[in-house]
Amino acid sequence: MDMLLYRGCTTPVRLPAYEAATIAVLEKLGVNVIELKDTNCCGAQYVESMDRMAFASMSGRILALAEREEKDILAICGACSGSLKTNKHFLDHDIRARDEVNSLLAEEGLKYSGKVRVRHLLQVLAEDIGFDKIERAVVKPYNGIKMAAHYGCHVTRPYEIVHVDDPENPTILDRLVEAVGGQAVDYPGKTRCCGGPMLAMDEDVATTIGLDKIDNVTKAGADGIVTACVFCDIQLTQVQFGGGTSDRQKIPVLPITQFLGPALGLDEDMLGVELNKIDPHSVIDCCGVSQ
Amino acid sequence: MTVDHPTQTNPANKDTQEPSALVIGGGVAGMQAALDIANQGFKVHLVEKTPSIGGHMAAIDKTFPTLDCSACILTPRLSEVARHPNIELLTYSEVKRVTGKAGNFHVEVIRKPRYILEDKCSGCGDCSEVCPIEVANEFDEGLGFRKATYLPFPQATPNVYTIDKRDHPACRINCPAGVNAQAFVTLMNQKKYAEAIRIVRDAIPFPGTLGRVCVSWCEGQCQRGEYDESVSIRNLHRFLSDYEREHNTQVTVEPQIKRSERVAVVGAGPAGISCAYHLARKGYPVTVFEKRSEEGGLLKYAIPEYRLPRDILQEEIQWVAKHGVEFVCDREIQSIDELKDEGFKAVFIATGASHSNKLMIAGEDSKGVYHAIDFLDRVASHKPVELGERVVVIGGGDAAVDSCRTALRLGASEVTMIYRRSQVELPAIPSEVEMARQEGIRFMFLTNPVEVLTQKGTVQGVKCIRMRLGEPDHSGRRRPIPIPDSEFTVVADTMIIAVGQSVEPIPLHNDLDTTEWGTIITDQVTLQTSNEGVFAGGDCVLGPATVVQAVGQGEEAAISIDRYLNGLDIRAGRDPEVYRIARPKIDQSTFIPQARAEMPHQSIASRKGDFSEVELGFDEDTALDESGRCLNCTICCECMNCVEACDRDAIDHSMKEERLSLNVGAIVVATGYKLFEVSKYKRLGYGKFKNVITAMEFERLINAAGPTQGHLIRLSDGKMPKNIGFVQCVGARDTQKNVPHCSRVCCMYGIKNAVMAREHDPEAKVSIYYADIRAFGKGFEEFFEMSKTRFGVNFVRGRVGEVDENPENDNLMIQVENTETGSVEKVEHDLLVISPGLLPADDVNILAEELGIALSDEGYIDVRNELTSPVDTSKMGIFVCGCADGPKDIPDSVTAGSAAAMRASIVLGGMIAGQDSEHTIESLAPEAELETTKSR
Amino acid sequence: MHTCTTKGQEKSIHVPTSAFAKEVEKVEGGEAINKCIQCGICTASCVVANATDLYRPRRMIQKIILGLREEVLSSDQSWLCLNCRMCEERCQEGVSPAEIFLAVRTIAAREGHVPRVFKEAVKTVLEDGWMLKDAYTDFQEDEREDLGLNPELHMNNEFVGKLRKRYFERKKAAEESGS
Repeated sequence: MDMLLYRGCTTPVRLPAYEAATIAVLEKLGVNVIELKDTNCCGAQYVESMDRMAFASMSGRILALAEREEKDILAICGACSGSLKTNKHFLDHDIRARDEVNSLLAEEGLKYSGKVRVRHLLQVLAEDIGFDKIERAVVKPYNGIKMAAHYGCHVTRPYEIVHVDDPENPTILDRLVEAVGGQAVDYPGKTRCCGGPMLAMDEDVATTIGLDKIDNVTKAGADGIVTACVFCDIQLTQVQFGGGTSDRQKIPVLPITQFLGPALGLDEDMLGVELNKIDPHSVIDCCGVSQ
Repeated sequence: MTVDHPTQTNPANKDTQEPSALVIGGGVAGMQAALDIANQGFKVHLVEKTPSIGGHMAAIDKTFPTLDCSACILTPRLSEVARHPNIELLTYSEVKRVTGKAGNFHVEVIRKPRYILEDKCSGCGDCSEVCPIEVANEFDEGLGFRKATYLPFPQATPNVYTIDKRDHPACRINCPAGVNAQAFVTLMNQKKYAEAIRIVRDAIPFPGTLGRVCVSWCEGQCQRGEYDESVSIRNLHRFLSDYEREHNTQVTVEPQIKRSERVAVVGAGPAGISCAYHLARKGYPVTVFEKRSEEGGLLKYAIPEYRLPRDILQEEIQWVAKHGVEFVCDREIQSIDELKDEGFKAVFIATGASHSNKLMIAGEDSKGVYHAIDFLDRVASHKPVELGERVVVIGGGDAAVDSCRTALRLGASEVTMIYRRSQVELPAIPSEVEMARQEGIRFMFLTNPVEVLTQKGTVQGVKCIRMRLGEPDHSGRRRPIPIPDSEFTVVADTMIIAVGQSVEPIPLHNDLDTTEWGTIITDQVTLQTSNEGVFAGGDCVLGPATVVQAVGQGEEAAISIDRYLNGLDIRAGRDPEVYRIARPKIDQSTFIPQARAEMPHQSIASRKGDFSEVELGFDEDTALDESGRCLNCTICCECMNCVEACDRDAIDHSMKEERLSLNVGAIVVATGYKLFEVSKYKRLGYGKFKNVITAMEFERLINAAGPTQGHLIRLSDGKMPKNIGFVQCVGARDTQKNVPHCSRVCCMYGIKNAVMAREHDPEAKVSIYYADIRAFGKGFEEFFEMSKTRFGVNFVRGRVGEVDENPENDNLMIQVENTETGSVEKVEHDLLVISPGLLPADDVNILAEELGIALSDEGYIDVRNELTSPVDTSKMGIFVCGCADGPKDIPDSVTAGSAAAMRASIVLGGMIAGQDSEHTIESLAPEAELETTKSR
Repeated sequence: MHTCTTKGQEKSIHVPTSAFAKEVEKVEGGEAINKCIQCGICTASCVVANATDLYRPRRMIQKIILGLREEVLSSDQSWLCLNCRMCEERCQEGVSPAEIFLAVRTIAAREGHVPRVFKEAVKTVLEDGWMLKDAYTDFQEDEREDLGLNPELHMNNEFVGKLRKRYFERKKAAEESGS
């Protein structure tokens, strides 16, 4: 199956490893990932707060670009996934808004008519590919290493719009961890935000929120964290550095595809492992080792 | 099977019928309605789905706002209803079909079988004392236990026990001998070994023998196997036999021969011995004729001793003899007449199928080629056998495996089993195959011999051909097809052919109809042959089958012979429909998978050249552990301990569902409520954190008649909680969970529970987290005030966001905003009680459809008009009260019950007055509403 | 609103009005404002409220309902929401404080109350078409190439120009005129 990769702003610059790992893993599992070109920011957080229609237009344009290619969009950032889905929902139900956006898009020969779907990476892995296929593709299973899943907020909420997983008790990341031989670890506050979006307004609060999550994960005995959103990944990594954290044992944070890759037999270089600020080798070296 | 009782309460002529009413639901509202109708002189049928009336109120500890003891108020009512001459109490029953209209409803009620006769049971509880099955008690919200035969609560009305028995267990219906596996496994789990082995021996005389050689179909179907691995049933009844021998606890047996009619059994194999055993127990003098010099059949002459030690077999045969059975060996019966002349009144033929089949290949007659049964027979008879070094065994069944392992023990250095299909189709018992493999026996699959190669008359090798598997044949197994030009030679000096057995034609069979394969033709159920009074069973009927099938047929024949000799219909009621239990409900979150116990074996080294028993048997700890894995799928296991204990003969395990037909003039629906499933709120941790409980669980914990005798304790460690939190508005006032409406009673019952918590321990800190306190009724506001001032309950206005657990002490940490101060807090509690909202009872929608009445959007029974006809449903003649139409407290439910009774009585009164029903019904509906009813 | 003088001190007394709530109700996302019963479950569930005393979403909604328009629009509060939607997930009345605050932000933005950080971010997006053009240096390009990814990011910056004209010029004008 073909999917158009919408990268967003942050991943290509701040976390290219996530992009590379995702493409490598999906290709391995039979998904053809095509770059969506000529895109713009989805409008999350900033434009979103300023003007509803501007926000709808920014996301709407991306949806229209995909529509022109007649393929579904794969979003790997939680915020982008949330924006695209929310705006799709908005434009699908509000004719006036749709007309207004289309009037601008028409100038480029684009049109939004709601034909393409927006799929977050977790949906593609869980539904389009399926856990069975992933399990069968494992060549070097992990040895039961304990991983804490952090879903982030926009991936699973609000459920009525995103339809990805049970927002109060999500399981896709946990099942992926287990599918490749890891052990999914539960911890308090699993569905809480990482604090990332607060960095703009109040860094201290953002760090408090992020470290609270790291504390909970550490107390639960996890050896690493898997993420499904670029912001969460960067935030959970970043809060482990900074003031007052020098005596902490740093816990590796890996985007889910970077965790899955080695188990599927992919080379480290394809997964951008050396770019991780916290060395993930303590996790990925447990691949293909007997329990 | 349902037994029909025709229109029981009213004669067929509906015009002159006595007006009566039906009340569906025996809670406080239903009881009120029933009493009010009955006190006017009308007959009432009160149908209640559970074994007792009383409803939820029976489980509540104290009521609000008066803090009266709920049972004290309720129980006089229960008594009044039970003793009322006009009320017919139909508990453990459900309404299935309703047709007709006001004044003339025709109702079908199904009465579920209690297996206990209501008019005989005195509620003494002797049955419950001896019942070995314990399950979680629904009345105590699963916090306590009850037996399979139980009284839901002490004041249950009617005060009779009920046996919870669900269909039939897979193990028992799959055993050809009908061994009650569930019962004996349960009893042995309680160390009641003597009782357990007695249950085994009710079906078979061979606990030790079959405990070693049975193919155990029971295990193949065991429900436990759907979750992890089936229970090791065969090894467990072997344990019982071993235990009995070891501890010398065998019960002495005296012959109980009471009849004079003599019965002959031909063949002392498992079928014959089983038939003789069962007949002797029924009091018949039986003589078993055996042509060989010793009894046992293939058990004695084929199955190797390392599987079945001969002393075990001998002891079990002797035990059968002790029942008064006579064994006559070295005597071959030539004809039926021979037996009839000797005065036998009935005959059971169990001559078996011990003739080894031939391969029909060249060289089969050479020296060094044996046929399995002959070979094993020689070994079992301790006769010398000439065996070479390299043995090949042809075949894939148990006889082939037995031959392989025997050959090895006799000194062969290389033993190879050659089978024409693949490993998947191998019919031998898997554990036997595994042991053969461990012992070093080689396997060659998809191979078939075509010729025995000899030199100077002795075997040199076997020419074989490779096979492939084609389409399935008549047995369902894929047909083996030779691959052309794939012949090769296997070097061997001995060959044992084990390709099945067949019936040896003997003179005796000439007196009977037989099939083309020589097996005796019998009726499938009665085992009657073509010759009256002559029955047959075992391999001589089935062809080469299993020991347990033979034993099962022996028992069936005994039943047939007994009936025959009593002049009864031998077939009647013999083939009842049995329903295998549907998959039992298991709580997956608490289920701990556990593998089957492993049978300890002799080490491979010590087995060499030795015929001592390989499987060593479970020790007591293992047996107890393994028997504990039984799921008790059908709850009651029919061990019959209750029947023995009951002085009043009140127990009847053969009871069936009954169907009653009633004619009533009016119906009152009082089906009550169920509580919202709090586990749907993952953020509150119910089900995950042990110390988060529901309000109903709380009621049971503080109730003196509850599982902890009224001691409020934490479920995690039994300690008394010192800091209790109550969470309101759960499963009510929630648009996200589709229950947007307010549940009316939770604020008050929450406060009542909080007050009770303080009463139980004045030192405990008690907090209620709420959005509003709805104290709207009489005395409610005062109660609320008192809870704060007199009882010191702490009220925090803020809905609880989420609950986390402190793993060190299992305490709960809740997150809440105190909206009155604006402070966001994490508060620690050692017990958290969630107050769920009230929902319509289960299956109310099905009942409503049957009655033809409308439901509201939330699923409650809809009333015609909340203001002017609040207890009328959308259909004339059908009324509603209690929580069936919406949450309400006890006083309101009782009021509604009386109101519904009044409305129903108008219909019933109209019937007496002789007015036709239509006219009476119109008088029920005020003018303004006639429009609506006409337009329906 | 009228002032009241007591012993030389001036105090403003707010007279509650539903006008602001009605205004918010009309904005996309603010429709459910009047369903709030002030139960506090949103605040109890809020990561920010649990991390700092400075943020109280329920209080903010209370202020909207009471009509404290100026205070709400000029405060930072609505900009402190992480938009994590936990409040929306938990609210039993069907209210989404997160969406209400987004609606409030758009009203505030129209009247020129925007925190600097947001202003700058939006300015960047409307010029470059995306957020991190300046952050995308040779280092990052090399990293991408090493990973086998396309170093050319192909971001469109024309469309945002149209958006700026249509939706933001009048905003800018409003800002500059200080209304």
